[in-house]
Amino acid sequence: MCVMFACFFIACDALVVVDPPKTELTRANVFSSDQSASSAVAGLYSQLITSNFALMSCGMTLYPGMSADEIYNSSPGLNDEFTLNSLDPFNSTINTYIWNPAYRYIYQANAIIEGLESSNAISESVAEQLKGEALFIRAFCYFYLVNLFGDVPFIVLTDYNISNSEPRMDTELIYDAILSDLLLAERLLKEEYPTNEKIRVNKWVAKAMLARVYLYLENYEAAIEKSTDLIDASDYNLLDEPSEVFLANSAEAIWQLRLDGNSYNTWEGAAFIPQPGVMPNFVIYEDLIKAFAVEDKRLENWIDRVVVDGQTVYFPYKYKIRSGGGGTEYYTVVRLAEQYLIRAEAYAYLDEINLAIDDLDIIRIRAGLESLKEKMPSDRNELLNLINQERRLELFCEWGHRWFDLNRTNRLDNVMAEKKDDWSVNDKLYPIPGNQLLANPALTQNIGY
Amino acid sequence: MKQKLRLGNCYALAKHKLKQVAVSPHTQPSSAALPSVPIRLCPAYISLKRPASGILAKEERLYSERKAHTEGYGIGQAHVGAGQGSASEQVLYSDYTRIALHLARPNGVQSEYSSSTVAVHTELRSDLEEISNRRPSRWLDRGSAIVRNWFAFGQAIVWHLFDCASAFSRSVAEGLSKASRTLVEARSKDCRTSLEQQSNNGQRNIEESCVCTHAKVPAPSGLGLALGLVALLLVGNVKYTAAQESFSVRGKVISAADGAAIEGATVTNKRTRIHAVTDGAGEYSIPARPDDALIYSFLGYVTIEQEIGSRERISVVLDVAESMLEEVEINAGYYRVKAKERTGSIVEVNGATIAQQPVSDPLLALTGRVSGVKINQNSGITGAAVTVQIRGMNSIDQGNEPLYIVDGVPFASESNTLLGSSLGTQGNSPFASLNPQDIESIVVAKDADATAIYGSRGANGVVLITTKRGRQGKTKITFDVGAGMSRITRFMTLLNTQEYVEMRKEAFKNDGRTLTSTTAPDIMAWDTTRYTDLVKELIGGDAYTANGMVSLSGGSEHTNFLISSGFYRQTTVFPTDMAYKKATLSSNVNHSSADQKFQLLISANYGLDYNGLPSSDLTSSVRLPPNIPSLYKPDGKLNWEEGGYTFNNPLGVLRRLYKLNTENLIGNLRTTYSLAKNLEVQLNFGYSSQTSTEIRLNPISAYNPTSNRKGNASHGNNTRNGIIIEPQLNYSLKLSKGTFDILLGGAWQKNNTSGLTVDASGYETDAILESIGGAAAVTSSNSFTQYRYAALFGRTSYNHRGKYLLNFTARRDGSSRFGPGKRLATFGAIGGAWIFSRESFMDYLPIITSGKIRGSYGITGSDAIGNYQYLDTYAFTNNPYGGQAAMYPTRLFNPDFGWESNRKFEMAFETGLNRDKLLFSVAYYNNRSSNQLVQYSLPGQTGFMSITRNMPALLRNSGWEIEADASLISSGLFSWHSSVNLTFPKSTLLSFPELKNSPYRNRYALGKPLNLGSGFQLNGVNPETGIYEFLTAQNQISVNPSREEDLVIGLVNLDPKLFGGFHNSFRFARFQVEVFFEFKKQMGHSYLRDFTQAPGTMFNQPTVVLERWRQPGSETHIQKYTALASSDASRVNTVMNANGADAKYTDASYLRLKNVAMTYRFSTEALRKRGISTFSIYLRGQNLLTFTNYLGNDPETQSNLRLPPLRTLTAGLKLDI
Repeated sequence: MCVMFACFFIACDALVVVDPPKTELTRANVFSSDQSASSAVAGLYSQLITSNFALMSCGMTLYPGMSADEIYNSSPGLNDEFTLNSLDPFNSTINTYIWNPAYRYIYQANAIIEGLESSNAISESVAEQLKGEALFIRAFCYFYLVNLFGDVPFIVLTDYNISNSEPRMDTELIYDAILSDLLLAERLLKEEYPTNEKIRVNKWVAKAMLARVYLYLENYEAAIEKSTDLIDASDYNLLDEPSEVFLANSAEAIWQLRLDGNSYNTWEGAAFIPQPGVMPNFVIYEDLIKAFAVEDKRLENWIDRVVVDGQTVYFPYKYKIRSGGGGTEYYTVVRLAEQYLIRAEAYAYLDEINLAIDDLDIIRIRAGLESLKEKMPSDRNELLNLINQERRLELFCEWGHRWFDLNRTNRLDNVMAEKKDDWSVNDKLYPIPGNQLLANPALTQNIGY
Repeated sequence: MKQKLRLGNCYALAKHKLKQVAVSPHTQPSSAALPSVPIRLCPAYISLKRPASGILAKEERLYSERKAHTEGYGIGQAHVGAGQGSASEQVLYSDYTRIALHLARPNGVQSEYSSSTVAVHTELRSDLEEISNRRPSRWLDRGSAIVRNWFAFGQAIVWHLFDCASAFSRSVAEGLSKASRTLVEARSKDCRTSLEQQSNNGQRNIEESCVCTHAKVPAPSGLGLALGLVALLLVGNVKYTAAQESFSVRGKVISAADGAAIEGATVTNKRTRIHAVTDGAGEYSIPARPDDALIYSFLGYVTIEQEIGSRERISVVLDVAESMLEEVEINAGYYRVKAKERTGSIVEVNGATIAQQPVSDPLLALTGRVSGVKINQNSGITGAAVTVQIRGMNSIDQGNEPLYIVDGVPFASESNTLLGSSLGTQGNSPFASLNPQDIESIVVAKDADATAIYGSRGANGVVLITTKRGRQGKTKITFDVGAGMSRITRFMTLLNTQEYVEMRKEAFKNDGRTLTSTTAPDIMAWDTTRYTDLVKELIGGDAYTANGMVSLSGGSEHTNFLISSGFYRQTTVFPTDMAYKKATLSSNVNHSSADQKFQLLISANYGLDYNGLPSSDLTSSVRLPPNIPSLYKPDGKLNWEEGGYTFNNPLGVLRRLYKLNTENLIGNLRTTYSLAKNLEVQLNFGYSSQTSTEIRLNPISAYNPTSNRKGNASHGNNTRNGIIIEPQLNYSLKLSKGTFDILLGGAWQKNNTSGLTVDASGYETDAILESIGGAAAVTSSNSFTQYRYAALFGRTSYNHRGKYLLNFTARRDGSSRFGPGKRLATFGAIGGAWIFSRESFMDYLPIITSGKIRGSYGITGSDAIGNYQYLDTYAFTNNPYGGQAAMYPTRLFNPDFGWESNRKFEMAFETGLNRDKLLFSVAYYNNRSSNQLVQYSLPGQTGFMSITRNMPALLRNSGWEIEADASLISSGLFSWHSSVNLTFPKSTLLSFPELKNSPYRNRYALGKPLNLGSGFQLNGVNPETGIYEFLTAQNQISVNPSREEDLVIGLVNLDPKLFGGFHNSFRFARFQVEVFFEFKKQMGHSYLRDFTQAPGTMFNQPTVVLERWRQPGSETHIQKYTALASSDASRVNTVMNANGADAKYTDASYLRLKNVAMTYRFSTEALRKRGISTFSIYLRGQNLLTFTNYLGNDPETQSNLRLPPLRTLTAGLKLDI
């Protein structure tokens, strides 16, 4: 006992020192080798796709799709608030499926960037690649946040003492940061994918995203430059068959997410494809169905129908596997068709009507529609309407394109006031989740909530 | 002088199975009628005496020895001396006899024995010892190797038992013959005659000396019968010398407390100082004369004296001693303290109280028994976790669980399951694997004086569980078997089909919608005349319980043992035959050396339980429509649809199994050695291991076949083990006026936890569901944590003349849960007491028999946070990405948090009136916890929801605890004992810096308790619109209140205002009834907590919704039905669910007849002849009646998603052999 007492006084701290947890690594250890640092980045992708119906796992198709005029929920519940554009700030979906995941991914990206910057143990080429990926994903998250919520807190550090009280930052400033992150990512990333699948980010993905951001920022020249890079790149081609677009590593895909270790193939398949004889959870508005020409291959290939209660209802069918399926479909985030549409729109704004029609035709012809060359639009507005129409059909129920397009082109009020009861101009932005306002008094709410 | 031989003495003893046998072979040489013959004796009952006078004839000795050898008993031989006077000699052969003597030693028989044979002598009265020509015992010459070897002892015990069994069979053959009994009687008559002739003989006190020599040897009572018969034979052969009119007084000693026989009470003849000890049936027999007085005494009881007079049978009832509290010691963990001299707040619940409650979790048996301790059953499912709070919540959002110590080993009380299950969010209770029947006592330490010695872990109080120990005495076998039945306590009445259909139709009408089979399949596609009572169907079954226990205990002065094994099985109230099963094995041995310097205690408790349950609680499914389609198809398969519309068949859950196996082992080794008279060193070594193995199965057949779901299964395996080493030094210093007791100790603890979960999915067939290899996809993850803890502690207590007591306790602690530099902290307490009843001035107030004022103040701490919280780590997900291992950051990084501290103050007044027949105590406590360790909520923008940190919030838990205890009636035939405990707790958040700007601002309010119910204030239903309206902060009426402005933080206090228990114990002769009520006065969550869907939607509702608003102008408290999510009524319902409202809280006070235990003890001679000392039958009930106005299912669980507590009735019998 005396020995013990002595020990206690001499090395009392030592008696209560524990081994580090065997199943975890400290941050310093994570960024001590290429392999483990790479695992941290893989972890970021894994988080993006694993949590069901969150931001990057179907959420961006689902929630803006309901807010816009694409789909509605067939059974009542929390989703009513999206469909009816009457979001309550305390709607748990926006908090737990959109806001919190987005900032969790941003934290992870920030942690990777900090970890890489503080480590000397990682080879330069790997460090560049990983940093590029983290920067890209951070920018990608902010892109969705500003488009959904408007001004949001902009966090680029992991220190919670600083980040916990950050107020909202102007959208323009965030866009500046998104651009600089994407440009840096474009520089750091290589043309090859880090693995032999299209499931991680490379230089082309950064370019594709840059094209989109430039379009949103109305920097049409830059948008044309980036989209042209992609359209000209030999690695990416439009597929003739729309049914093959969303297959794993399809030629059209620029970036896909792969869902592993799950009984579902993609979360969209799980969300949209109903069980036999059952009402789909999400139904496409008649209005959208009618917008397709009868011969449009996309109507046949990307939309399915089911008769319930003597009534035919339509549901998105871009992904055709509800569960199982062995990973034949990957969740496609960015694909080439959008780049044609981006370039077409940019050309249109620059009054390069023919070039715009060329790009638009590529999409139309693939869909089995006639070329627009026969009946050229008379003015820029008509052309833009055609492009918007094509975007609506090509990119329907895909990553919130419709909601964002209507919003950025200032057509949202007109379109929605026509289609939805009680539309308010304040419904353009989602409310900042009420719990966030409680947790951070520096935050302010969007107008109208 | 009249000479009388009490032959009846021997005869009666024989009948009483000779717990202490007066086998006194004496010779009366002058009586030719009764020649001296050798007598066989059973070893356990040898009464021995060195020949006090006279010399045995050599031939006789030889004859006897030969007899022993030839008969081969090897059990002993008695010589009957032929000489003058009373003399006997006993020569014992073989080990068996040696054991007997070993067993006899504690009872005061002096014995000396050699390795092979034994001779025993006892103290003789001086007048006999004067005889000088005592023959030295030749057996002693062989040297005395005293048997100390404990292993040999163990072996010998086995032989001994074996021997007893053979003796029994022999005696049946020998003894039952009527002829021999006749012979005995005839001879005794002769004997008496001859004795009377000897009336003037000068021999005196022969019988006294005989009695003195009785070896009181414990032995299995099964042997008693045999020995009785042997003794009968013996009586016939014995010649008695009776010196005086001395006879044997018999009787029984009974406790006034419970009417039970007292075993081991001492009956002393005041004149001769001869004493006898009562047997298991409380019976005694002692020689005495009519003018003698007998003194009856037993620890903890009032000693009484009885004049004998002409009585031959004297039965007495001993009152519980006024001095009981002084005598009774309470286990306070590292030390024991006399109840009356304690300075801290320590309450003991004894094993009998725990055992009489038909519960499988011993913690549930504490409900309402201890003031200041709030126990909540979270679910009626057997094995589900129980919440225990001692003196309120001390921590804002970290652990409030007390520290549990089972037999000196810290016991991890939190659930050790990894998978979600029907046991609820809190998982299982590891305590369920302890058998309540094995528990000797549960001690709850509440204040600083009692808990500071546990330092950092004592902040939330300490619960010390001690299992039963073997007792010195005869070997005893106890059987206890019971069976019972349980049902849910109470459940709200839900709408029947007619009312439900009406509700649905009215809702659609209110919403201006038409019913279609898509929007209302329950009305349009399903049969609307069918009615299924889902409460009855799903949770209304009877659960059957069967339990059994057998224990074997016994021991001698130096070594005691106990082995106990129990079995428990309980089915569920769900429509399934799955069950909870438990098997326990508890054993312990304690041993002390002959000089009592060395003591050893080994104990091991092993519990194995299996819980077979549906994977989720069916209680939540009772909200399905009451016209739900038939659950089964005509072919017996589960039905999933009607009229083309599918529904979620609740019975699918029954096919989704959750199987939990837990194993629990607690081992403890404690050695104590006295270095000097008042210096003792102790080493405590403890080991604990808890293993849980879970499987959750989701077979294809549990799902609607159209869903095309594949089967999946989850496996969980969690192991926790811990080691604790605690050396300790106790020193006591006696001064002229006081005593110092000093304790110094150290503790080092190490706990490892490792868990493994495997999720296997994609099964195409249910048959291979439990095979991981058969899965299409498997993901798994594991975890490992380590916890180390070290401490130095000391306690000094000074007791000045038994009147003034002062204690100092200090502990320095280190815990691995904190980062470097933050690990060590010091805690301590001071406690004092003044026992004013011992002051001389109190002699003027004899009504006050005891009185004490005590108080304490001290600091304890809490490290109740997870391990490694100070590390910045990454963990692996079980979803690798693209074939690569994937890691994610586990938490925000804060290396700087430290101990949470809790300052406890207590003052108490305790008194006992009228010889302590009325005990009363009142205590006031005031605990302040600060430096709160919190999972501080953070905005999501930080990447995480929270961070572990300290917060300078100050929380006060204060309250009054009142306990009263009265022996209202106490007589031999009838007694009534009553006790009550009351707790008035009050919790207040005293300070919370920056509360207004903190994430807690909508949860807590200064000056209010933590456990708050917040929400909007309802202004009732608008008579015109039929929709709820709220009151805003400005007292305006609004349907759209603002959460920031109008929310009332703390509409209600959800802490109980008062809780306690009321216990009554009645005894009429051998019939005993215990009635225990538990009560709580509190506000709680109403049924609306779980019936969140607006009335009118496709969910059933309680019948209270029938009072809804129907047409403009009607005044009611329930808003109109609605089924449309976008309707105003739905929106208001959503607002209420999200933010709370006063309607969501209701009075949840209740008075519950928690326990009734009725026991009848049979204690007849017929039973005793068969070796059964106690045979009792019992009927026990738990949660029998609940009186409450609660608006919901059960006011204790306050949930409609979890099974309410069960009402249980069991009957059984208990047998002591």
